[in-house]
Amino acid sequence: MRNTRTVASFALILLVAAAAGGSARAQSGVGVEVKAVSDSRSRVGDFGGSLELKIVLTGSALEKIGQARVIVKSATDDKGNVLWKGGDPPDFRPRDWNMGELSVTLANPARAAKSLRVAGTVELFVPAKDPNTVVKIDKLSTKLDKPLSAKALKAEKLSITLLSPKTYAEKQGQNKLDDAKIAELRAQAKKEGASDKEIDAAIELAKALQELGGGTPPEGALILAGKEADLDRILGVRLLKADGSEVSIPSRSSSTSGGETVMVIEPSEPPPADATLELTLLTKKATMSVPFELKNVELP
Amino acid sequence: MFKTAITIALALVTVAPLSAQTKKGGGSGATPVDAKVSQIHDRRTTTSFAQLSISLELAGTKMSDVSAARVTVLKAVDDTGGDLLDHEASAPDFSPTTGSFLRADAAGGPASIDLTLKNPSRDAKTITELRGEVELYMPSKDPDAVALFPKFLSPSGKPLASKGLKASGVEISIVSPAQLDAEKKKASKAKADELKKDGNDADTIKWMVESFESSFVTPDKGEIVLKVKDPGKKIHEYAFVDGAGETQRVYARETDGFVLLSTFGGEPAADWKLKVSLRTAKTMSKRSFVVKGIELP
Repeated sequence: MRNTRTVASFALILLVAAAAGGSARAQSGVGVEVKAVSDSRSRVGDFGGSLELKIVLTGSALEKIGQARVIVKSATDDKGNVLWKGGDPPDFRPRDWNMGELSVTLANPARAAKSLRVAGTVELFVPAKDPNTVVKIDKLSTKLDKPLSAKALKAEKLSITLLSPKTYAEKQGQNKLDDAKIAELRAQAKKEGASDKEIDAAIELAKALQELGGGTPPEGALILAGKEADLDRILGVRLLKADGSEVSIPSRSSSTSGGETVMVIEPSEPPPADATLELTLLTKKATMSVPFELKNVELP
Repeated sequence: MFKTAITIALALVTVAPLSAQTKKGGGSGATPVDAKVSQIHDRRTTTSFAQLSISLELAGTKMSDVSAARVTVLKAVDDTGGDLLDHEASAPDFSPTTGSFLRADAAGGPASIDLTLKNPSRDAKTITELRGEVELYMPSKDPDAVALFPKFLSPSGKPLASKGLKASGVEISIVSPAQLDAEKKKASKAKADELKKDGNDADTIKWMVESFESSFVTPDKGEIVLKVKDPGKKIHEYAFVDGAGETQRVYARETDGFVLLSTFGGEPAADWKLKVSLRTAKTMSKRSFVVKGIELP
Protein backbone atom coordinates (compact mmCIF):
# COMPACT_ATOMS: atom_id res chain seq x y z
CA MET A 1 0.00 0.00 0.00
CA ARG A 2 2.41 2.60 -1.20
CA ASN A 3 0.08 5.47 -1.78
CA THR A 4 -3.29 4.64 -0.36
CA ARG A 5 -2.96 6.96 2.54
CA THR A 6 -1.91 10.10 0.79
CA VAL A 7 -3.23 12.78 3.05
CA ALA A 8 -4.36 16.08 1.69
CA SER A 9 -1.86 18.81 2.06
CA PHE A 10 -4.35 21.16 3.48
CA ALA A 11 -6.23 21.60 6.67
CA LEU A 12 -9.81 22.62 6.48
CA ILE A 13 -11.32 24.56 9.23
CA LEU A 14 -15.03 24.23 9.27
CA LEU A 15 -17.33 26.02 11.54
CA VAL A 16 -19.77 23.20 11.20
CA ALA A 17 -20.45 22.72 14.87
CA ALA A 18 -21.02 26.41 15.43
CA ALA A 19 -23.28 26.76 12.44
CA ALA A 20 -25.26 23.64 13.22
CA GLY A 21 -25.56 24.14 16.94
CA GLY A 22 -26.10 27.83 16.83
CA SER A 23 -24.17 28.44 20.01
CA ALA A 24 -20.98 26.45 20.24
CA ARG A 25 -18.18 27.91 18.22
CA ALA A 26 -16.00 24.84 18.26
CA GLN A 27 -13.90 24.47 15.18
CA SER A 28 -13.62 21.13 13.44
CA GLY A 29 -11.08 20.08 10.83
CA VAL A 30 -12.05 17.99 7.83
CA GLY A 31 -9.31 16.26 5.91
CA VAL A 32 -9.27 14.60 2.53
CA GLU A 33 -7.47 11.29 2.05
CA VAL A 34 -6.87 9.32 -1.08
CA LYS A 35 -7.90 5.82 -0.13
CA ALA A 36 -7.25 4.13 -3.47
CA VAL A 37 -5.92 4.88 -6.93
CA SER A 38 -6.88 2.80 -9.95
CA ASP A 39 -5.30 3.60 -13.28
CA SER A 40 -7.25 1.52 -15.72
CA ARG A 41 -5.41 1.62 -19.03
CA SER A 42 -7.19 -0.07 -21.89
CA ARG A 43 -7.25 -0.45 -25.57
CA VAL A 44 -10.48 -2.28 -26.24
CA GLY A 45 -11.81 -1.27 -29.64
CA ASP A 46 -12.54 2.44 -29.45
CA PHE A 47 -12.66 2.49 -25.67
CA GLY A 48 -9.84 3.96 -23.66
CA GLY A 49 -9.41 3.92 -19.94
CA SER A 50 -9.66 6.22 -16.96
CA LEU A 51 -8.11 6.93 -13.62
CA GLU A 52 -10.26 6.72 -10.53
CA LEU A 53 -9.47 8.11 -7.12
CA LYS A 54 -11.39 6.91 -4.10
CA ILE A 55 -11.46 9.75 -1.64
CA VAL A 56 -12.54 9.71 1.98
CA LEU A 57 -13.17 12.60 4.31
CA THR A 58 -11.72 12.58 7.78
CA GLY A 59 -12.19 14.68 10.87
CA SER A 60 -14.49 15.25 13.78
CA ALA A 61 -16.98 17.37 11.80
CA LEU A 62 -18.10 14.44 9.67
CA GLU A 63 -21.07 13.52 11.81
CA LYS A 64 -22.71 16.81 10.88
CA ILE A 65 -22.34 16.14 7.17
CA GLY A 66 -25.27 14.44 5.48
CA GLN A 67 -23.89 14.17 1.98
CA ALA A 68 -20.81 15.22 0.05
CA ARG A 69 -19.30 15.40 -3.39
CA VAL A 70 -15.94 16.28 -4.88
CA ILE A 71 -15.76 18.86 -7.63
CA VAL A 72 -12.47 18.79 -9.48
CA LYS A 73 -11.07 22.09 -10.72
CA SER A 74 -7.76 20.85 -12.09
CA ALA A 75 -5.72 17.68 -12.32
CA THR A 76 -2.34 17.11 -13.92
CA ASP A 77 0.28 14.39 -13.89
CA ASP A 78 3.95 15.03 -13.20
CA LYS A 79 4.62 15.09 -16.95
CA GLY A 80 2.34 18.10 -17.29
CA ASN A 81 -0.60 16.31 -18.89
CA VAL A 82 -4.03 17.70 -18.09
CA LEU A 83 -6.24 14.96 -16.66
CA TRP A 84 -9.43 16.99 -16.17
CA LYS A 85 -11.07 18.95 -18.93
CA GLY A 86 -14.32 19.85 -17.21
CA GLY A 87 -17.70 18.23 -17.01
CA ASP A 88 -20.92 18.10 -15.04
CA PRO A 89 -20.51 17.98 -11.26
CA PRO A 90 -21.19 14.56 -9.74
CA ASP A 91 -24.23 13.88 -7.60
CA PHE A 92 -24.02 14.25 -3.85
CA ARG A 93 -23.44 10.95 -2.06
CA PRO A 94 -24.85 10.17 1.38
CA ARG A 95 -22.11 9.70 3.93
CA ASP A 96 -23.28 6.19 4.72
CA TRP A 97 -22.91 4.97 1.13
CA ASN A 98 -19.81 2.97 0.24
CA MET A 99 -18.28 3.69 3.62
CA GLY A 100 -18.24 7.38 2.79
CA GLU A 101 -16.03 6.94 -0.28
CA LEU A 102 -16.29 9.58 -2.97
CA SER A 103 -15.14 8.88 -6.52
CA VAL A 104 -13.20 11.14 -8.82
CA THR A 105 -12.74 10.01 -12.41
CA LEU A 106 -9.95 11.53 -14.49
CA ALA A 107 -8.23 10.83 -17.78
CA ASN A 108 -5.33 8.40 -17.73
CA PRO A 109 -2.00 9.98 -16.88
CA ALA A 110 1.01 9.35 -19.10
CA ARG A 111 2.24 5.80 -18.84
CA ALA A 112 5.59 7.06 -17.60
CA ALA A 113 4.05 9.44 -15.06
CA LYS A 114 4.78 8.73 -11.42
CA SER A 115 2.36 11.01 -9.60
CA LEU A 116 -0.47 13.46 -10.04
CA ARG A 117 -1.90 16.55 -8.47
CA VAL A 118 -5.61 17.26 -8.04
CA ALA A 119 -7.26 20.43 -6.83
CA GLY A 120 -10.90 21.27 -6.36
CA THR A 121 -13.54 21.64 -3.73
CA VAL A 122 -15.38 19.28 -1.48
CA GLU A 123 -19.01 20.27 -1.26
CA LEU A 124 -20.61 19.31 2.00
CA PHE A 125 -24.31 19.15 2.66
CA VAL A 126 -24.94 20.00 6.30
CA PRO A 127 -28.71 19.72 6.78
CA ALA A 128 -28.62 21.00 10.36
CA LYS A 129 -27.59 24.41 9.04
CA ASP A 130 -30.91 25.07 7.36
CA PRO A 131 -34.40 24.01 8.51
CA ASN A 132 -35.59 24.43 4.94
CA THR A 133 -33.71 21.28 3.94
CA VAL A 134 -36.58 19.15 5.22
CA VAL A 135 -40.02 19.31 3.62
CA LYS A 136 -42.86 17.23 5.01
CA ILE A 137 -45.96 16.54 2.93
CA ASP A 138 -48.91 14.84 4.61
CA LYS A 139 -52.39 13.86 3.38
CA LEU A 140 -50.80 12.80 0.12
CA SER A 141 -53.97 11.69 -1.63
CA THR A 142 -55.41 15.23 -1.41
CA LYS A 143 -52.35 16.83 -3.00
CA LEU A 144 -52.23 15.14 -6.36
CA ASP A 145 -51.61 16.86 -9.68
CA LYS A 146 -50.95 20.35 -8.36
CA PRO A 147 -47.68 21.90 -7.17
CA LEU A 148 -46.93 20.96 -3.58
CA SER A 149 -47.25 23.77 -1.11
CA ALA A 150 -44.66 24.08 1.66
CA LYS A 151 -42.77 26.96 3.22
CA ALA A 152 -39.40 25.50 2.29
CA LEU A 153 -40.39 24.86 -1.31
CA LYS A 154 -41.62 28.44 -1.60
CA ALA A 155 -38.47 29.81 0.02
CA GLU A 156 -36.29 27.81 -2.34
CA LYS A 157 -38.52 28.65 -5.34
CA LEU A 158 -39.06 25.00 -6.18
CA SER A 159 -42.11 23.66 -7.95
CA ILE A 160 -42.71 19.95 -7.41
CA THR A 161 -45.91 18.09 -8.19
CA LEU A 162 -47.11 14.75 -6.85
CA LEU A 163 -48.68 13.01 -9.83
CA SER A 164 -51.69 10.71 -9.84
CA PRO A 165 -51.23 7.45 -11.80
CA LYS A 166 -53.62 8.81 -14.45
CA THR A 167 -51.63 11.99 -15.03
CA TYR A 168 -48.40 9.98 -14.99
CA ALA A 169 -49.79 7.69 -17.70
CA GLU A 170 -50.82 10.73 -19.77
CA LYS A 171 -47.34 12.22 -19.43
CA GLN A 172 -45.75 8.96 -20.45
CA GLY A 173 -47.98 8.93 -23.53
CA GLN A 174 -46.96 12.48 -24.41
CA ASN A 175 -43.29 11.60 -24.13
CA LYS A 176 -43.58 8.41 -26.14
CA LEU A 177 -41.13 8.16 -28.99
CA ASP A 178 -43.51 8.02 -31.93
CA ASP A 179 -42.56 8.36 -35.59
CA ALA A 180 -43.09 12.13 -35.56
CA LYS A 181 -40.90 12.58 -32.50
CA ILE A 182 -38.19 10.35 -33.93
CA ALA A 183 -38.23 12.34 -37.19
CA GLU A 184 -37.94 15.56 -35.20
CA LEU A 185 -35.02 14.20 -33.17
CA ARG A 186 -33.34 12.89 -36.30
CA ALA A 187 -33.58 16.27 -38.02
CA GLN A 188 -32.23 18.05 -34.97
CA ALA A 189 -29.31 15.64 -34.59
CA LYS A 190 -28.53 15.90 -38.30
CA LYS A 191 -28.43 19.67 -37.95
CA GLU A 192 -25.92 19.25 -35.14
CA GLY A 193 -23.68 17.15 -37.38
CA ALA A 194 -24.37 13.64 -36.08
CA SER A 195 -23.99 10.78 -38.55
CA ASP A 196 -26.88 8.50 -39.49
CA LYS A 197 -25.16 5.65 -37.66
CA GLU A 198 -24.84 7.71 -34.48
CA ILE A 199 -28.43 8.89 -34.73
CA ASP A 200 -29.73 5.34 -35.26
CA ALA A 201 -27.78 4.13 -32.25
CA ALA A 202 -29.06 7.00 -30.09
CA ILE A 203 -32.66 6.36 -31.12
CA GLU A 204 -32.37 2.64 -30.40
CA LEU A 205 -30.91 3.47 -26.99
CA ALA A 206 -33.70 5.94 -26.29
CA LYS A 207 -36.30 3.32 -27.26
CA ALA A 208 -34.68 0.74 -25.00
CA LEU A 209 -34.52 3.19 -22.10
CA GLN A 210 -38.15 4.10 -22.67
CA GLU A 211 -39.06 0.42 -22.51
CA LEU A 212 -37.18 0.13 -19.24
CA GLY A 213 -38.70 3.24 -17.72
CA GLY A 214 -42.16 2.89 -19.25
CA GLY A 215 -45.22 1.07 -18.11
CA THR A 216 -47.48 1.62 -15.17
CA PRO A 217 -45.70 2.11 -11.86
CA PRO A 218 -46.52 -0.46 -9.18
CA GLU A 219 -49.44 0.15 -6.88
CA GLY A 220 -48.48 2.48 -4.08
CA ALA A 221 -45.71 4.20 -6.02
CA LEU A 222 -45.34 7.94 -5.46
CA ILE A 223 -44.50 10.03 -8.50
CA LEU A 224 -42.93 13.46 -8.34
CA ALA A 225 -42.59 15.71 -11.37
CA GLY A 226 -41.05 19.08 -11.99
CA LYS A 227 -38.27 20.92 -13.73
CA GLU A 228 -35.03 18.95 -13.93
CA ALA A 229 -33.18 21.59 -11.91
CA ASP A 230 -35.84 21.48 -9.19
CA LEU A 231 -35.91 17.71 -8.83
CA ASP A 232 -32.13 17.60 -8.87
CA ARG A 233 -32.33 19.42 -5.55
CA ILE A 234 -34.02 16.43 -3.89
CA LEU A 235 -31.22 14.63 -2.07
CA GLY A 236 -33.32 12.27 -0.02
CA VAL A 237 -36.82 10.84 0.23
CA ARG A 238 -38.43 9.16 3.23
CA LEU A 239 -41.92 7.88 3.81
CA LEU A 240 -43.15 8.02 7.39
CA LYS A 241 -46.14 6.37 9.02
CA ALA A 242 -48.22 8.26 11.59
CA ASP A 243 -46.32 6.57 14.45
CA GLY A 244 -43.04 7.91 13.05
CA SER A 245 -41.82 4.55 11.74
CA GLU A 246 -40.40 4.52 8.26
CA VAL A 247 -41.61 2.66 5.18
CA SER A 248 -38.51 1.56 3.31
CA ILE A 249 -38.03 2.70 -0.27
CA PRO A 250 -36.13 0.00 -2.12
CA SER A 251 -36.41 1.67 -5.50
CA ARG A 252 -36.28 5.26 -6.66
CA SER A 253 -35.70 6.17 -10.29
CA SER A 254 -35.80 9.34 -12.35
CA SER A 255 -36.17 10.03 -16.04
CA THR A 256 -35.79 13.37 -17.76
CA SER A 257 -37.27 14.49 -21.03
CA GLY A 258 -37.47 18.00 -22.41
CA GLY A 259 -36.12 19.52 -19.20
CA GLU A 260 -38.79 17.89 -17.04
CA THR A 261 -37.95 15.11 -14.61
CA VAL A 262 -40.28 12.44 -13.32
CA MET A 263 -39.20 10.59 -10.18
CA VAL A 264 -40.87 7.29 -9.36
CA ILE A 265 -40.61 6.30 -5.71
CA GLU A 266 -41.51 2.69 -4.99
CA PRO A 267 -42.01 1.94 -1.30
CA SER A 268 -41.84 -1.60 0.03
CA GLU A 269 -45.54 -1.41 0.86
CA PRO A 270 -48.38 0.88 -0.24
CA PRO A 271 -48.22 4.04 1.87
CA PRO A 272 -50.96 4.30 4.53
CA ALA A 273 -53.50 7.09 4.05
CA ASP A 274 -51.94 9.08 6.89
CA ALA A 275 -48.36 8.68 5.65
CA THR A 276 -46.05 11.67 5.37
CA LEU A 277 -43.59 12.15 2.53
CA GLU A 278 -40.36 13.75 3.69
CA LEU A 279 -38.04 15.32 1.13
CA THR A 280 -34.50 16.42 1.88
CA LEU A 281 -33.60 19.44 -0.24
CA LEU A 282 -30.22 20.78 -1.19
CA THR A 283 -30.18 24.42 -0.18
CA LYS A 284 -27.48 27.02 -0.50
CA LYS A 285 -27.51 27.69 3.23
CA ALA A 286 -26.88 24.03 4.00
CA THR A 287 -24.01 23.70 1.55
CA MET A 288 -20.39 24.31 2.39
CA SER A 289 -17.70 24.43 -0.22
CA VAL A 290 -14.18 23.71 0.93
CA PRO A 291 -11.13 23.93 -1.33
CA PHE A 292 -8.55 21.15 -1.37
CA GLU A 293 -5.35 20.27 -3.11
CA LEU A 294 -3.80 16.80 -3.25
CA LYS A 295 -0.16 16.92 -4.25
CA ASN A 296 2.06 14.01 -5.19
CA VAL A 297 -0.59 11.34 -5.36
CA GLU A 298 1.59 8.39 -6.20
CA LEU A 299 0.47 6.34 -9.20
CA PRO A 300 0.32 2.54 -9.01
CA MET B 1 1.60 -0.25 -33.58
CA PHE B 2 -1.09 -1.65 -31.34
CA LYS B 3 -3.41 -2.78 -34.07
CA THR B 4 -0.68 -4.30 -36.15
CA ALA B 5 -1.07 -8.03 -36.40
CA ILE B 6 2.09 -9.50 -35.09
CA THR B 7 2.77 -12.48 -37.20
CA ILE B 8 5.02 -15.27 -36.25
CA ALA B 9 6.90 -17.62 -38.46
CA LEU B 10 6.51 -21.24 -37.61
CA ALA B 11 10.26 -21.50 -37.38
CA LEU B 12 10.29 -19.15 -34.41
CA VAL B 13 9.88 -21.98 -31.97
CA THR B 14 13.56 -22.19 -31.22
CA VAL B 15 15.53 -24.46 -28.95
CA ALA B 16 15.23 -22.23 -25.89
CA PRO B 17 11.44 -21.91 -25.88
CA LEU B 18 11.07 -25.58 -26.60
CA SER B 19 13.00 -26.35 -23.46
CA ALA B 20 10.75 -23.89 -21.59
CA GLN B 21 7.69 -25.64 -22.95
CA THR B 22 9.00 -28.97 -21.86
CA LYS B 23 9.70 -27.60 -18.41
CA LYS B 24 6.05 -26.42 -18.19
CA GLY B 25 4.89 -29.83 -19.28
CA GLY B 26 3.03 -28.68 -22.33
CA GLY B 27 5.52 -28.54 -25.13
CA SER B 28 4.62 -31.54 -27.20
CA GLY B 29 2.34 -31.43 -30.21
CA ALA B 30 1.53 -27.72 -30.18
CA THR B 31 0.90 -26.24 -33.61
CA PRO B 32 2.28 -22.72 -33.99
CA VAL B 33 -0.34 -20.15 -34.99
CA ASP B 34 -0.42 -16.49 -35.91
CA ALA B 35 -1.76 -14.47 -33.01
CA LYS B 36 -2.65 -10.82 -32.73
CA VAL B 37 -3.60 -8.69 -29.77
CA SER B 38 -7.24 -7.63 -29.96
CA GLN B 39 -7.59 -6.14 -26.48
CA ILE B 40 -5.19 -5.10 -23.77
CA HIS B 41 -6.05 -3.78 -20.34
CA ASP B 42 -3.44 -2.76 -17.82
CA ARG B 43 -5.34 -2.44 -14.55
CA ARG B 44 -3.03 -0.72 -12.13
CA THR B 45 -4.48 -0.22 -8.70
CA THR B 46 -3.60 0.14 -5.07
CA THR B 47 -6.53 -2.17 -4.27
CA SER B 48 -7.22 -5.72 -5.48
CA PHE B 49 -6.98 -7.31 -8.89
CA ALA B 50 -4.04 -5.41 -10.32
CA GLN B 51 -3.15 -7.23 -13.54
CA LEU B 52 -2.49 -6.96 -17.23
CA SER B 53 -5.15 -8.70 -19.32
CA ILE B 54 -4.59 -9.51 -22.96
CA SER B 55 -6.94 -11.02 -25.51
CA LEU B 56 -5.35 -12.72 -28.48
CA GLU B 57 -7.06 -13.66 -31.73
CA LEU B 58 -5.84 -16.92 -33.19
CA ALA B 59 -5.71 -17.00 -36.96
CA GLY B 60 -7.15 -20.02 -38.71
CA THR B 61 -9.47 -21.08 -35.87
CA LYS B 62 -13.12 -20.11 -35.86
CA MET B 63 -14.60 -18.61 -32.71
CA SER B 64 -17.66 -20.84 -33.10
CA ASP B 65 -15.50 -23.99 -32.92
CA VAL B 66 -13.87 -23.20 -29.59
CA SER B 67 -15.90 -23.34 -26.41
CA ALA B 68 -13.07 -23.27 -23.86
CA ALA B 69 -9.36 -22.72 -23.67
CA ARG B 70 -6.56 -23.29 -21.22
CA VAL B 71 -3.68 -20.87 -21.70
CA THR B 72 -0.19 -21.46 -20.36
CA VAL B 73 2.09 -18.45 -20.70
CA LEU B 74 5.70 -19.52 -20.93
CA LYS B 75 7.38 -16.16 -21.29
CA ALA B 76 6.30 -12.55 -20.94
CA VAL B 77 8.83 -9.75 -20.57
CA ASP B 78 8.58 -6.00 -20.95
CA ASP B 79 11.19 -3.69 -22.45
CA THR B 80 12.62 -2.86 -19.04
CA GLY B 81 13.40 -6.53 -18.57
CA GLY B 82 10.52 -7.07 -16.15
CA ASP B 83 9.19 -10.61 -15.92
CA LEU B 84 5.40 -10.43 -16.20
CA LEU B 85 4.74 -14.05 -15.29
CA ASP B 86 3.09 -14.62 -11.95
CA HIS B 87 5.07 -17.54 -10.63
CA GLU B 88 2.85 -17.75 -7.54
CA ALA B 89 -0.34 -18.22 -9.56
CA SER B 90 -2.18 -21.51 -9.49
CA ALA B 91 -2.08 -23.77 -12.53
CA PRO B 92 -4.30 -22.53 -15.35
CA ASP B 93 -7.64 -24.17 -15.93
CA PHE B 94 -10.06 -24.20 -18.85
CA SER B 95 -12.14 -21.05 -19.20
CA PRO B 96 -15.14 -20.55 -21.50
CA THR B 97 -14.26 -18.53 -24.58
CA THR B 98 -16.32 -15.75 -26.15
CA GLY B 99 -17.55 -18.18 -28.78
CA SER B 100 -19.19 -20.32 -26.13
CA PHE B 101 -21.50 -17.45 -25.18
CA LEU B 102 -22.60 -16.70 -28.74
CA ARG B 103 -24.82 -18.49 -31.17
CA ALA B 104 -22.79 -20.30 -33.81
CA ASP B 105 -23.99 -17.95 -36.56
CA ALA B 106 -22.89 -14.91 -34.54
CA ALA B 107 -19.47 -16.32 -33.71
CA GLY B 108 -17.94 -16.20 -37.15
CA GLY B 109 -14.69 -14.40 -36.32
CA PRO B 110 -11.40 -15.87 -35.21
CA ALA B 111 -11.14 -17.64 -31.87
CA SER B 112 -10.06 -15.41 -29.04
CA ILE B 113 -8.23 -16.38 -25.86
CA ASP B 114 -7.61 -14.39 -22.72
CA LEU B 115 -4.58 -14.37 -20.47
CA THR B 116 -3.44 -12.38 -17.47
CA LEU B 117 0.01 -11.21 -16.48
CA LYS B 118 1.52 -9.03 -13.81
CA ASN B 119 1.49 -5.27 -14.38
CA PRO B 120 4.48 -4.09 -16.37
CA SER B 121 6.55 -1.23 -15.04
CA ARG B 122 5.19 2.27 -15.70
CA ASP B 123 8.49 2.88 -17.47
CA ALA B 124 7.82 0.05 -19.90
CA LYS B 125 6.50 0.91 -23.34
CA THR B 126 6.11 -2.52 -24.85
CA ILE B 127 5.97 -6.20 -24.07
CA THR B 128 8.96 -7.39 -25.99
CA GLU B 129 7.86 -11.01 -26.08
CA LEU B 130 4.79 -12.96 -25.12
CA ARG B 131 5.06 -16.68 -25.67
CA GLY B 132 2.75 -19.46 -24.66
CA GLU B 133 0.56 -22.41 -25.47
CA VAL B 134 -3.16 -22.85 -25.50
CA GLU B 135 -5.24 -25.99 -25.34
CA LEU B 136 -8.46 -25.47 -27.25
CA TYR B 137 -11.59 -27.43 -26.50
CA MET B 138 -13.57 -27.84 -29.72
CA PRO B 139 -16.55 -30.11 -29.10
CA SER B 140 -17.84 -29.74 -32.66
CA LYS B 141 -14.86 -31.78 -33.88
CA ASP B 142 -16.25 -34.99 -32.39
CA PRO B 143 -19.91 -35.95 -32.73
CA ASP B 144 -19.59 -38.21 -29.68
CA ALA B 145 -18.18 -35.49 -27.44
CA VAL B 146 -21.54 -34.04 -26.44
CA ALA B 147 -24.21 -36.32 -25.06
CA LEU B 148 -27.79 -35.20 -24.43
CA PHE B 149 -30.04 -36.99 -21.98
CA PRO B 150 -33.78 -36.20 -22.02
CA LYS B 151 -36.09 -37.07 -19.15
CA PHE B 152 -33.24 -37.01 -16.67
CA LEU B 153 -35.64 -35.94 -13.94
CA SER B 154 -37.14 -39.45 -14.04
CA PRO B 155 -34.06 -41.58 -13.46
CA SER B 156 -34.26 -45.23 -14.44
CA GLY B 157 -31.73 -46.22 -11.82
CA LYS B 158 -29.29 -47.27 -14.53
CA PRO B 159 -26.23 -45.27 -15.60
CA LEU B 160 -26.75 -42.87 -18.49
CA ALA B 161 -25.80 -44.50 -21.76
CA SER B 162 -24.02 -42.89 -24.70
CA LYS B 163 -21.30 -43.88 -27.12
CA GLY B 164 -19.13 -40.97 -25.95
CA LEU B 165 -19.45 -41.77 -22.24
CA LYS B 166 -18.58 -45.39 -22.87
CA ALA B 167 -15.57 -44.56 -25.05
CA SER B 168 -14.31 -42.10 -22.42
CA GLY B 169 -14.73 -44.55 -19.57
CA VAL B 170 -17.22 -42.25 -17.86
CA GLU B 171 -20.18 -43.50 -15.85
CA ILE B 172 -22.93 -41.11 -14.73
CA SER B 173 -26.03 -42.07 -12.77
CA ILE B 174 -28.83 -39.73 -11.74
CA VAL B 175 -29.53 -40.19 -8.06
CA SER B 176 -33.19 -39.98 -7.03
CA PRO B 177 -34.15 -38.68 -3.56
CA ALA B 178 -34.94 -42.26 -2.47
CA GLN B 179 -31.58 -43.48 -3.73
CA LEU B 180 -29.82 -40.61 -1.98
CA ASP B 181 -31.60 -41.51 1.24
CA ALA B 182 -30.53 -45.14 0.85
CA GLU B 183 -26.93 -44.00 0.20
CA LYS B 184 -27.10 -41.87 3.34
CA LYS B 185 -28.27 -44.84 5.43
CA LYS B 186 -25.57 -47.03 3.95
CA ALA B 187 -22.90 -44.40 4.67
CA SER B 188 -24.24 -43.93 8.23
CA LYS B 189 -24.05 -47.64 8.90
CA ALA B 190 -20.50 -47.79 7.57
CA LYS B 191 -19.63 -44.82 9.80
CA ALA B 192 -21.18 -46.50 12.85
CA ASP B 193 -19.33 -49.75 12.12
CA GLU B 194 -16.07 -47.88 11.80
CA LEU B 195 -16.61 -46.04 15.10
CA LYS B 196 -17.54 -49.26 16.86
CA LYS B 197 -14.45 -50.96 15.49
CA ASP B 198 -12.39 -48.09 16.89
CA GLY B 199 -13.77 -48.87 20.35
CA ASN B 200 -16.14 -45.92 20.83
CA ASP B 201 -19.01 -46.28 23.32
CA ALA B 202 -22.67 -46.29 22.23
CA ASP B 203 -23.36 -42.68 23.19
CA THR B 204 -20.33 -41.41 21.30
CA ILE B 205 -21.26 -43.48 18.25
CA LYS B 206 -24.85 -42.19 18.35
CA TRP B 207 -23.71 -38.58 18.63
CA MET B 208 -21.11 -38.89 15.89
CA VAL B 209 -23.43 -40.72 13.49
CA GLU B 210 -26.10 -38.03 14.01
CA SER B 211 -23.48 -35.40 13.32
CA PHE B 212 -22.37 -37.30 10.21
CA GLU B 213 -25.95 -37.56 8.94
CA SER B 214 -26.69 -33.88 9.52
CA SER B 215 -23.69 -32.90 7.44
CA PHE B 216 -24.40 -35.43 4.69
CA VAL B 217 -25.16 -33.96 1.30
CA THR B 218 -28.58 -32.29 1.14
CA PRO B 219 -29.49 -30.99 -2.29
CA ASP B 220 -31.06 -27.55 -2.54
CA LYS B 221 -34.40 -27.18 -4.30
CA GLY B 222 -33.92 -27.83 -8.01
CA GLU B 223 -30.46 -29.37 -7.63
CA ILE B 224 -29.79 -32.55 -9.58
CA VAL B 225 -27.67 -35.19 -7.87
CA LEU B 226 -25.28 -37.36 -9.87
CA LYS B 227 -22.99 -40.23 -9.03
CA VAL B 228 -20.02 -39.92 -11.37
CA LYS B 229 -17.08 -42.15 -12.22
CA ASP B 230 -14.58 -40.29 -14.37
CA PRO B 231 -11.15 -41.81 -13.79
CA GLY B 232 -9.60 -40.12 -16.83
CA LYS B 233 -11.05 -36.65 -16.00
CA LYS B 234 -12.79 -36.60 -19.36
CA ILE B 235 -15.88 -34.61 -18.36
CA HIS B 236 -15.43 -31.04 -19.55
CA GLU B 237 -18.70 -29.60 -18.29
CA TYR B 238 -22.36 -30.16 -17.63
CA ALA B 239 -25.21 -28.00 -18.90
CA PHE B 240 -28.97 -28.12 -19.22
CA VAL B 241 -30.89 -27.55 -22.42
CA ASP B 242 -34.29 -26.08 -21.67
CA GLY B 243 -37.57 -26.73 -23.46
CA ALA B 244 -36.88 -23.88 -25.89
CA GLY B 245 -33.53 -25.38 -26.82
CA GLU B 246 -31.50 -22.76 -24.96
CA THR B 247 -28.44 -23.93 -23.09
CA GLN B 248 -28.57 -23.14 -19.39
CA ARG B 249 -25.16 -22.96 -17.80
CA VAL B 250 -24.70 -25.18 -14.79
CA TYR B 251 -22.93 -24.72 -11.51
CA ALA B 252 -21.52 -28.08 -10.41
CA ARG B 253 -20.37 -28.83 -6.88
CA GLU B 254 -18.90 -32.00 -5.49
CA THR B 255 -19.61 -33.24 -2.00
CA ASP B 256 -19.64 -36.62 -0.24
CA GLY B 257 -18.82 -38.31 -3.54
CA PHE B 258 -21.81 -36.82 -5.35
CA VAL B 259 -21.95 -34.13 -8.02
CA LEU B 260 -24.77 -31.61 -7.61
CA LEU B 261 -25.92 -29.51 -10.54
CA SER B 262 -27.89 -26.28 -10.37
CA THR B 263 -28.52 -23.38 -12.68
CA PHE B 264 -29.46 -19.73 -12.44
CA GLY B 265 -31.71 -20.29 -15.45
CA GLY B 266 -34.44 -21.80 -13.29
CA GLU B 267 -35.37 -25.15 -11.88
CA PRO B 268 -35.02 -27.97 -14.44
CA ALA B 269 -38.37 -28.97 -15.95
CA ALA B 270 -39.58 -32.26 -17.40
CA ASP B 271 -38.76 -31.18 -20.97
CA TRP B 272 -35.19 -30.19 -20.16
CA LYS B 273 -32.18 -32.24 -21.19
CA LEU B 274 -28.91 -32.88 -19.42
CA LYS B 275 -25.93 -32.10 -21.62
CA VAL B 276 -22.54 -33.65 -20.85
CA SER B 277 -19.51 -32.43 -22.79
CA LEU B 278 -16.45 -34.66 -22.91
CA ARG B 279 -12.82 -33.98 -23.67
CA THR B 280 -12.01 -36.58 -26.28
CA ALA B 281 -8.85 -36.77 -28.34
CA LYS B 282 -10.61 -35.26 -31.35
CA THR B 283 -11.90 -32.26 -29.38
CA MET B 284 -8.54 -31.17 -28.03
CA SER B 285 -6.07 -29.12 -29.99
CA LYS B 286 -2.91 -27.48 -28.77
CA ARG B 287 -1.46 -24.33 -30.33
CA SER B 288 1.60 -22.27 -29.54
CA PHE B 289 1.97 -18.55 -30.07
CA VAL B 290 4.60 -15.86 -29.93
CA VAL B 291 3.74 -12.18 -30.11
CA LYS B 292 6.43 -9.52 -30.09
CA GLY B 293 6.47 -5.77 -29.59
CA ILE B 294 3.06 -5.35 -27.96
CA GLU B 295 2.57 -1.67 -27.30
CA LEU B 296 1.35 -0.98 -23.77
CA PRO B 297 -1.59 1.35 -23.14
